[in-house]
Amino acid sequence: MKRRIALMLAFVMIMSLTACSGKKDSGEQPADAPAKAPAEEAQDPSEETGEKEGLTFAIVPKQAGNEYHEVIATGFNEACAELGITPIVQYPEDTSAEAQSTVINNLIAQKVDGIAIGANDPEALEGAIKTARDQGIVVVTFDSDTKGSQVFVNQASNEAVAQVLVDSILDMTGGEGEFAVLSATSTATNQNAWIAAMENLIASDDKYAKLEWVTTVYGDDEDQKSYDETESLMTNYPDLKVICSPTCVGYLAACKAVMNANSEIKVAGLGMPSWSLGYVGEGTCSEYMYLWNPVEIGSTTVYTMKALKDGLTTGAEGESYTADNGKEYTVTPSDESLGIYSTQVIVGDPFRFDGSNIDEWAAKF
Amino acid sequence: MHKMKKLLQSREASLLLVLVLLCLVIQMRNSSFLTANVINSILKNYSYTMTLSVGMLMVLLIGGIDISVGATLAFSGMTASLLMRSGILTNGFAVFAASTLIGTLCGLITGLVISKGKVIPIIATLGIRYIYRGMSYLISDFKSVNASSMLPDYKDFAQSSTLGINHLVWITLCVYAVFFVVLRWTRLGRRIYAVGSNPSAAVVSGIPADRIKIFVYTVMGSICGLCGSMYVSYYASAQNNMAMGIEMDVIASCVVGGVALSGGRGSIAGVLIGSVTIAVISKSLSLVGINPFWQQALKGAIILFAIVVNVIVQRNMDRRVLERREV
Repeated sequence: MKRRIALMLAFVMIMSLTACSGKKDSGEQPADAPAKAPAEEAQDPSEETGEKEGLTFAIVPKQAGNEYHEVIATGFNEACAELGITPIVQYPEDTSAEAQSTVINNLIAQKVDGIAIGANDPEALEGAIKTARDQGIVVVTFDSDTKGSQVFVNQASNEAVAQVLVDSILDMTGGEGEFAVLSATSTATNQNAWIAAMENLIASDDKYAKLEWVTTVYGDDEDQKSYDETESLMTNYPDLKVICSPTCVGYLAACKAVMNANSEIKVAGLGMPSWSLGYVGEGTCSEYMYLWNPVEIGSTTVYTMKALKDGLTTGAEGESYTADNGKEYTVTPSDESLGIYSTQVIVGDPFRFDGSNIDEWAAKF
Repeated sequence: MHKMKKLLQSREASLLLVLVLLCLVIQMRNSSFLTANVINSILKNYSYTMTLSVGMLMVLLIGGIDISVGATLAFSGMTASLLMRSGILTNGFAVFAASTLIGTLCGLITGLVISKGKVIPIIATLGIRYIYRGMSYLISDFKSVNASSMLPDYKDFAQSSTLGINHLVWITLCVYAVFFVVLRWTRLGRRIYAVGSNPSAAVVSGIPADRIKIFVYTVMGSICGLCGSMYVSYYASAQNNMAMGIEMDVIASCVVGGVALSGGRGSIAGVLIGSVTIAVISKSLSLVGINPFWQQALKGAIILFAIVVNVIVQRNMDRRVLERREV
């Protein structure tokens, strides 16, 4: 009897597992994706290209359950639908590079025409990418670059990110005073690239001379650690005026800790609108924050792959082309010191969220 | 006098000594450490880790282990948050109750799989860990529940205090008090120790080992559920990857607190000291400004140090007991 119960339980568990994966698959189909493009993406619906070959493009995000990457995938699906391309969204099993390699190899076997990767490692995917490119598959990266990719679709140039962050700090401190940076992990390539670009920018212009960068701390993108680090900043630097957190988890934790402590400190940084609702706007710790439009990252990824496939560009530095969305892009050089190994296509400038538009955007992502 | 000596030789005393030493070192590096403000924030920020350690103590006492606590916490916290957002739960207390209830059911399933299914605890909870985490992704549709869709009284609860002590810390204290009594002075408590220290003897002497196991994992689940709502109300945001990997800190709290992984040995007092030690270590790493590349390694080194001290004291105690027997 006991055995039977155990067997039944095991059966139920297995069923629930398969049920889960089944549902997830269907959720990734483009048909389910809401076909609503954000306002600033000036699409030209009259353009009809790419129908003849029946291309298939695949996207490999960093991990399942990452909201931000989910929204990128939505943009990817929408752009594919527009160009008549069959989209495939395939998540790696975990956040390791090995899991992504497995997914890439599966996609090669499926003979897709293009693969976009949000790389989990700067180097470990090179082998898998080479195999794909040898078979004529277009490979681009987005969000984080990795060696071997043809083009890195960069959400915003590091200089542009540093510019908005440093200007936020300048504005929120009132022109002078102490600020600190709360980053993600100490090894995160994009975080370190932005921090380095911020340093360069502050050193380059006299108007930032009165800002005092007291420290950079790392919250590891965990709630508990980020919260701890923020509280310690408040304890250790009583004159602190601004905390700048260029990571969504850190930004939220900093806002929360600062507001719970009834502190006068202002928070600047990059945040997810839906997470940060209630913390951005007049009378809060953060009048405004920045991020990019992840839908646009997803769609730009598709347009870039399409341009590479159509031979509009080879991905070589300095080339300019007009993509299927009617926008002109220029391929900019790589920058290995900032963890960007491939030539870049820049999506746009960071987007400002404040009290006037946060509600509208929070509904999207 | 004899009592005093006995107290000094006890394991808890040695743990306390390590903790005091640690605090002194940190205080020397940063004088704002031993202030009401910082102590308050440590207790608040680690209230749920400390509470989870009580459940883990019981699981370890019966010779089991549960590495699904983070996933159970996330699933119950997320489900309760979704119920709150959809307007089904209309006050903060109901959210706590719902989360605890969901956690209890999760724990019951874990207990059944382990006791009736005869699956080794680490394997069973390894699988369950993925299932519950996956389920929290599914029910939330990969999205988070943000502060604006939460009840004001629920969010305020975690930020307000009674008698100068934060409400979350009160919950932690209550859980410790209840299980101190249960483990020390009830038949149930003695049975939990018995199942872990000598399983076959326990069965022979008529203790329903399976039922005890189910009970312990169910309680672990309830505590996870309770902590799920504590977590969400504290951060005012329910994300489906929350508390990922928290089981490591929880198990470390128990082990530093002198709980044996082989079962049957460990106390609430030890776990309290152990979990405060872990909290102090984590907090101090940011407060003292340790190089981030060193933080993880240093945390591990301090944990190992505490355990080694503990083992040496234990060995001395055992030897003394043996000597007395020989005489």
